[in-house]
Amino acid sequence: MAPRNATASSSKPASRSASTSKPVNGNAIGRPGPSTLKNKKRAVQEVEEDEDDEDDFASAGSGMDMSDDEELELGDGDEEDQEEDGEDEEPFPEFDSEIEDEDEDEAAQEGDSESEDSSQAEDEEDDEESGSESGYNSSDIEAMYGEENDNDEYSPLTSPSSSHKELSTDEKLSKLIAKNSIKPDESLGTDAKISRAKEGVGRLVPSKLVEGGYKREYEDYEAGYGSESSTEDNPNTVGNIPMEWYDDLPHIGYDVNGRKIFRPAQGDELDKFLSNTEDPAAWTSAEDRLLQQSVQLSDKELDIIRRLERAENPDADFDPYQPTIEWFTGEGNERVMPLSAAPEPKRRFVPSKWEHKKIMKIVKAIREGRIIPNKPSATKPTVYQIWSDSDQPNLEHAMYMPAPQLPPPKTIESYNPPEEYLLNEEEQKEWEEAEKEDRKTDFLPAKYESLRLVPGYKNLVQEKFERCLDLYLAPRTRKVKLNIDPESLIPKLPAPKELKPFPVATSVLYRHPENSRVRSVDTSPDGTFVATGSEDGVVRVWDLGNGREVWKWNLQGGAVQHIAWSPYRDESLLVALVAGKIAVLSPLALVAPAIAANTLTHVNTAFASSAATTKMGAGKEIKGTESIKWVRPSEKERERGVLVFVEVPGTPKQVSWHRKGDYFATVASDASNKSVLIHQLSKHATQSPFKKLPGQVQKVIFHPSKPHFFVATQRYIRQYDLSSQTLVKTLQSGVKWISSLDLHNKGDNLIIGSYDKKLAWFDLDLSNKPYKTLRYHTKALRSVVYHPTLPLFASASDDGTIHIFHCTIYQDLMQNPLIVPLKILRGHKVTDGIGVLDLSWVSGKPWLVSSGSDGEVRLWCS
Amino acid sequence: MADINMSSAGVGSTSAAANATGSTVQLPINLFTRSTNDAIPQSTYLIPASWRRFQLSELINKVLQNNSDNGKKPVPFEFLINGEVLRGSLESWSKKNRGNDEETTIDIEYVRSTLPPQEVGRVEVEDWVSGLSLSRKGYILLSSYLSHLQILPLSSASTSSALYTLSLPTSLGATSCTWVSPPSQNNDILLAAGGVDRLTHVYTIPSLSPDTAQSSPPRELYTLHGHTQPVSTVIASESGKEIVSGSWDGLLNLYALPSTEPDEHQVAAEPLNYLPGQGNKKRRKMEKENPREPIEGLLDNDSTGEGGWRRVPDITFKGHTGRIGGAVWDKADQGKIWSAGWDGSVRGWDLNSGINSVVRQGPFDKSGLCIDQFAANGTLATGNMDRTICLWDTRQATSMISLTLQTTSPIPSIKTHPTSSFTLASATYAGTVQIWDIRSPKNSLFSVSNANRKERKVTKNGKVLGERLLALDWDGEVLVAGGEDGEVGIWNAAGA
Repeated sequence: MAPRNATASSSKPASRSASTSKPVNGNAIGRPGPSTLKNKKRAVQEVEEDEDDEDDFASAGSGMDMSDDEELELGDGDEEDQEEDGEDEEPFPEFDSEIEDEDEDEAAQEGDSESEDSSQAEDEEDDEESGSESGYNSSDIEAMYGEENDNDEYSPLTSPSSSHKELSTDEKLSKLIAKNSIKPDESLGTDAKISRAKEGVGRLVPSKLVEGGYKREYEDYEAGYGSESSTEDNPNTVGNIPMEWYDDLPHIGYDVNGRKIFRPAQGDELDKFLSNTEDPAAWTSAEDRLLQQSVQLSDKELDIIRRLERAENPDADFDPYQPTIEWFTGEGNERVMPLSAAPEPKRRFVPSKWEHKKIMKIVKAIREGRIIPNKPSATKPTVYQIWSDSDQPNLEHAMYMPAPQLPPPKTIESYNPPEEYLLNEEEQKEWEEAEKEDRKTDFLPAKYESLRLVPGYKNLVQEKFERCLDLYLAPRTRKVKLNIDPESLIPKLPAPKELKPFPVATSVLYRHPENSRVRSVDTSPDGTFVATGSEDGVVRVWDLGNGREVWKWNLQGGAVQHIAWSPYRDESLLVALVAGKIAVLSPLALVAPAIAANTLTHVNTAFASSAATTKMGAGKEIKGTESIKWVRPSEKERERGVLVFVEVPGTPKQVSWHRKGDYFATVASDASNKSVLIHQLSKHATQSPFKKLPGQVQKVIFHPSKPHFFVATQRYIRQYDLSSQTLVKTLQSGVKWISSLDLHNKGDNLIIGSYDKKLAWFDLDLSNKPYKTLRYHTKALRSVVYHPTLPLFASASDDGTIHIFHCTIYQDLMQNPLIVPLKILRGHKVTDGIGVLDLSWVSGKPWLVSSGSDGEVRLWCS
Repeated sequence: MADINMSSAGVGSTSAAANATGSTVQLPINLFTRSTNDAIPQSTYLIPASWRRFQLSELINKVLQNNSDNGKKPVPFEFLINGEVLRGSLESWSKKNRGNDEETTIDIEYVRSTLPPQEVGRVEVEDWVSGLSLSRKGYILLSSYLSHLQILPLSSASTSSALYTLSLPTSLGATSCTWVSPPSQNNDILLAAGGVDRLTHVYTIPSLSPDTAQSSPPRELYTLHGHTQPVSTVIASESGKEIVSGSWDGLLNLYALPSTEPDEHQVAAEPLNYLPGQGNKKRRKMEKENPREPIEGLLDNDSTGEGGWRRVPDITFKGHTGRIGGAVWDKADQGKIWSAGWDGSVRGWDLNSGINSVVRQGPFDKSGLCIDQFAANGTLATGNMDRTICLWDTRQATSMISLTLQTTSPIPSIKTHPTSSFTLASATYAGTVQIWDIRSPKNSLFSVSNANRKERKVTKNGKVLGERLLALDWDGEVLVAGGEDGEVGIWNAAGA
């Protein structure tokens, strides 16, 4: 019984908890119940009784200061009190009447509950006066034990309280008087809850320090350590000892007063059995070793056991799913003032960089295929690969690198090799004489009848040592081979097939009689005639289409160095250079009379104006060009179309027409400062534009649209502005000796060929250095030519080949010219180390005319 | 199959022997032809792979029952597989082209065979031959760069004795020649030659019979002016009333010849030279006083230099932007001519309205050098500078170039068979005469090279001789070709 009285224990926290919990006691334990029990069991009985008294007072008082809610909750109890405790409460009014009659008129004699509010202060006063403190409301207790209170526990409670009352009546009276005279503590009165929480503990005593003040004095707190049953309710005080020690004794221990507790009567085994079989509650009882008796477990305890068995919380009232109380979150609970003044940490609103990095690393790995999500794990063979080459089971390790294996033994190493492997005597001798490194095998193959006869191998240790040394010294590293597809490094160029048409094959041969070297070739601007100048001193005009020689001039001045058609289409003019002489020619018989007339008028006007009187004729001489003479040919020559001779110093090597067909420039590199001359046909005037030349001039060319003039010396190309007579630009070719030069028809790009096998492409808008330098010929370049209209250029070389290139020059200045090699034309023979000498494109067609040192002039057609 | 086997069983012992060996592979073939006369029933034949043209030809003759019993002569056939003439055995073809696939049926077209050209003669000319014509049966008309126009009787061709030799009044050379008068006309025959001197010279000869040759000498009747650049081609209508000349300047000039000889020039003569201060009047006066010296290279030493009645074109057709390579009178419609130009276009001209009715523009580098038309279906064939022979469909709404025959060198002259719609002959710059069947476009039927060259290197006026051919004509039986080698080769070449 005792352990189950915990609910009614006198310790205040416990009792308070008991007040909140709902005790369901089958036992008839009334309000005084605990106290009676305690009286029996405890030595502190008086104190208990006092407390009980106080409880009674408190029950009255605290019942009054209860809030309405609590009253409502416990209304039943009150009603019961009123109804059933009518007799019980009789003594109270009596006592009260004694007091209250004296104080003031008794208004509420019948029930204390009715005068709650009015007498609140009084009650407090009572409490203070009596010094009784109660942890729980009296009404609670009444509610709990209301039914049981009625009969049995009545008398023991009354007597002590009445005695107490009688003792303190005077005091009480004085207190009441004092209380009325003293202003009540408003804080205590107003904040009822707080005060009530505090009022239960300690009692107010007059303060010694503050006059008229009170201080609260607290009871000594009795700590209820451990379970109440073990500490408080156990009458046996022997403690936690093996109870076998008392087996031989008649008692089983001592109570709190030191008296022996005798062993209760023990039934024999039969009794136990009977009780087990007969008593239905026997199986729910347990033996209390300390008291040597069996204790019937209460329902609550059984419930606890059951819960423990089911691994639940043993407290039946524990609600694991109780609603959370939103203290700080949710509607209406927003904190106006933050709990902390610290600024919001960054991580609340900035995504974590490191998390992001980590994620991106994984994403990258997935993209690269290093991580394959949801990859089914490779099914490992469950068996050990006994025949696998690598003897190692741990190949998966990234850094694992097996040692290079020894070559497997060969037949010759067998102890019993076939006869053909054995060395004969000569070979054996040879083997023995050879150096160790030179021997084919490290050993002498030998044949034995059986394995048993094989002697020990004396090199074993040495070989094993060397093997170990190899393994030890050989750095085993994984060499990452740079795995670049060489194809990918080649720039993406369109296929030549897409860039058709371009010349691919010889169609027409222009045959020269003696196979004399043809130094120069040019096609007429309308693409009908081909003019060639050969070393026999004859300039020939050919039908482009079928290779028929239709006209010729024998200039009789040695080899024809260079020829060039005038680009002006309304005239038909040709300039041929021989040693010391420039011949202006026109195939008058082959062209329309109108064109012939135009040509003659243009060329002959100056004769009429200036020096028609002299038979020889003379040009207007400017700037010290005294040695330059414009000479009128003989009539016979003029009938054949030789219009003018210009006698110049040196041997002119190159002629270049201005686009309008009036000026042409010649270069005679052996004529010192008169090597570059510009001639004007309409005035028969010659001028030497440079007083002093920067070097040996190789080639000159007029700009197709601007008044610019390009002069190529051995290494540099200079661009002059003829109108302002200034040097515009000097291009550094980067080659050793320029052989040829051509300007694109747009005038922004220039190519040069050099004797040191290079071709350089200049973008005049960009740099002084070549945009591209191509070296593909195996011998010196002789000629480079742009096609006048199509995106083609060609280069001829002494190696006998002609290379055809596609060159797209984009309108967009940001885009570099596209140069695509298209075709290598072979066919010219190399004679005396000289191959192809000159090239000329046919205007309007993708055809090329080339002349070679073999005396052949070829037309290459698409 | 059964009846074929029956019929082919008697083909010869070869097939029986082949079957007997057992090891011989048999190939399934389909034989078909486009000629209705030679058609045989359509079926798939299993033919021993070792068979060649001869056996196949015999097989078809058996099926057609062309034997002496029926009074028909066996006809030799050519066999074309995928546009290729069968030259070896079926097996070798199959191995080359099919791997060793013996299951797929081979479609074989057969055509009546033509004999390879057989050279019958060779005529030496003093300079490059520039034009040839066989329009008048039994005679060869040729023009040469020596500015000669020659008429050779075909019968005595090998003797190289020219019936007539007409000199142009220039030494620049003639580029083309044609008979103007229709073959039916036997007196006062007109013929024309285009020259590098930009003129077309029309000659008249009294008769082709040698005895009358002496009566009135041949003379230049007209000189046709109007071109600013050398004449490249001259053609005449069937009636002989119109001459069309094409030139390097891209113009086609139509000259309608007057029915009676005019008595005045239509245009003044071109100056012979342009020396300043020497007007033509003065020059002419001087010439009368003392006969002028011929200008070297311009006038021939022995030419009279006067020329005929100068005439101007009646219609000028402008359209080509480049040189005119060749022109041909439409063989069905006399009011239409076709021309091929160096600008890559083929144009049809309506003579009555003078407009350019059809333009077929090919690639700009496909310069046409010559043109001819199949009489049977009107398809045009051009020989091009880019080493192709192109067939152009003249009907509307078809593709421009219907077929391209690849050769190895430019084709300066081309001639279609007068009746067949499949065969044509071409001369190449490589010096070969090729006969093509357009049903076998991959390679020519025959290719004859004029390899047996003489030792001549240079002509008498210093021009180098080469191997190239420049001119060709073919009347279906006789083929003549000449060029840089200064010879005219004559072949007997039949075509079908």
